[in-house]
Amino acid sequence: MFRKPRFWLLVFTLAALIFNFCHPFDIQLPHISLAAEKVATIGGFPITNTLIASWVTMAVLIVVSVLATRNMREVPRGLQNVVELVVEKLYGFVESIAGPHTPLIFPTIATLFLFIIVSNWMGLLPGYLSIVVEHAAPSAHEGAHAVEKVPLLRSAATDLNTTLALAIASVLMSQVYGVIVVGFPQYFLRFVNIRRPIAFFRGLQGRGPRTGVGSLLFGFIDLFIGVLELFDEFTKILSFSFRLFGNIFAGEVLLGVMVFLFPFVASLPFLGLEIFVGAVQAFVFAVLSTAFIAQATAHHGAEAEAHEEQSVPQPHVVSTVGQGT
Amino acid sequence: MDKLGIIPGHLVAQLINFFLLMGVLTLVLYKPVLRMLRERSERIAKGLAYADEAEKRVAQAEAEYQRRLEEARREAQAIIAQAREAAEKERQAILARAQAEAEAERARVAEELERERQAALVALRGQVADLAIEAAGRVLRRAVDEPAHRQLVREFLSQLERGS
Repeated sequence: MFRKPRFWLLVFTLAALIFNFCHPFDIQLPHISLAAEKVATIGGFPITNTLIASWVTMAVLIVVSVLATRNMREVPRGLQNVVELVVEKLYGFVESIAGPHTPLIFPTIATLFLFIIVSNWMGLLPGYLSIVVEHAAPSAHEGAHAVEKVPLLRSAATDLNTTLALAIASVLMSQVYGVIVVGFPQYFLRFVNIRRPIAFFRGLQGRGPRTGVGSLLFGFIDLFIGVLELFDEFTKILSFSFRLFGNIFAGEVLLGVMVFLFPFVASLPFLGLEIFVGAVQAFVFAVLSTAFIAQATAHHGAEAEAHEEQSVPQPHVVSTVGQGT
Repeated sequence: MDKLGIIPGHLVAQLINFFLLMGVLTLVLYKPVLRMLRERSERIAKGLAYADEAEKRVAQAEAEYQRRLEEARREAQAIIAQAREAAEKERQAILARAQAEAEAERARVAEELERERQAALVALRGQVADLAIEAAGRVLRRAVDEPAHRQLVREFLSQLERGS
């Protein structure tokens, strides 16, 4: 019994759990702040801990990529294997949603996914939030330079600047790809749909088939739908950014509180939960971005169908979902 | 905005960060890895096609080999049959020749025998005639030596011969 490692593990766990209630350390509830803390100021530009964390994430991603692809081999080994697996799975996944436009949109989706998942997971590493630097903050009180302790690193997605930037990038790229695939003026007809009124007035002037007044009415509905579509793009930015921010920030707060209550062992399950949440959020962000971009690039087919009324219905690009893998 | 910590400068900085990361990763990660994956799958496809081709070729070679083997066997059979036929012919020829030779020998021997018999017969006849004349002389106590007598004996003998 005393030789079994399982027994000692149990004893250790129990001891740690009891230790939770009688340890000599002074563990404080972490200061919860929605805004990222400023660590330093360079040339008037405040550097926050989340910005540093994003740079670290970027550096890790770039260094790993360079190391993995520096000497690519036909027969992959080690890191190259891992990187190839990740890229291949991601590519297959994007292909299953976006179909033929995959080569065009893949870098955006993959970068979103990789940045978010790596940043989320790195945010769980020891050192984040726990390494503290002193920062002489220009305090509200004139003259008195209060020295406050702020964490050097804080998970990048716990800053709305980061998540908003990612959301804007995603929505912006979906417009860009829409214009690339559908064409310049045609794509924006999605937001300002004046095809029916134009057809109506052309009909009146005898330069096209006559359409009824009802078509003019539908034209107004189209315009309204266009406004909704435009509004939808901004909603996407908000939902993207607040979903990611909310989940990761809440996770951080949860972990902080758990560590405050039970510093040893008991908070471990929540760490596992946060690993899961971090991956899920990255996945959700990537899936939604892919779906929105696929929608934007597929718009052409649906519109052309509505425009040339008697034409043969074209296959919708979104219908390629599930064809790949 | 301030409570949420949104700073326009940071927002722009993060946007730039994102596009920078996207550009760099495209260069150092996506392009090389996807190219490698594509090359590898092309290579595997090529390898499989090559293997198929090789298999087909092996099958062809096998068929060719079988065909040749069959051909050779048939040829060998033909050669054997031919040889057998030739040998048979030869045997027949040798046999015929030997038979002819034997026949000739036999004829020759028979002829010799006949000749000798004839010679013996002639000699015997002469002796018989002499003996008969001698005997007759003894019986008659005088020589029976005249040609007339000889003629008589000869006729007698020939009568005997004809009678026998």
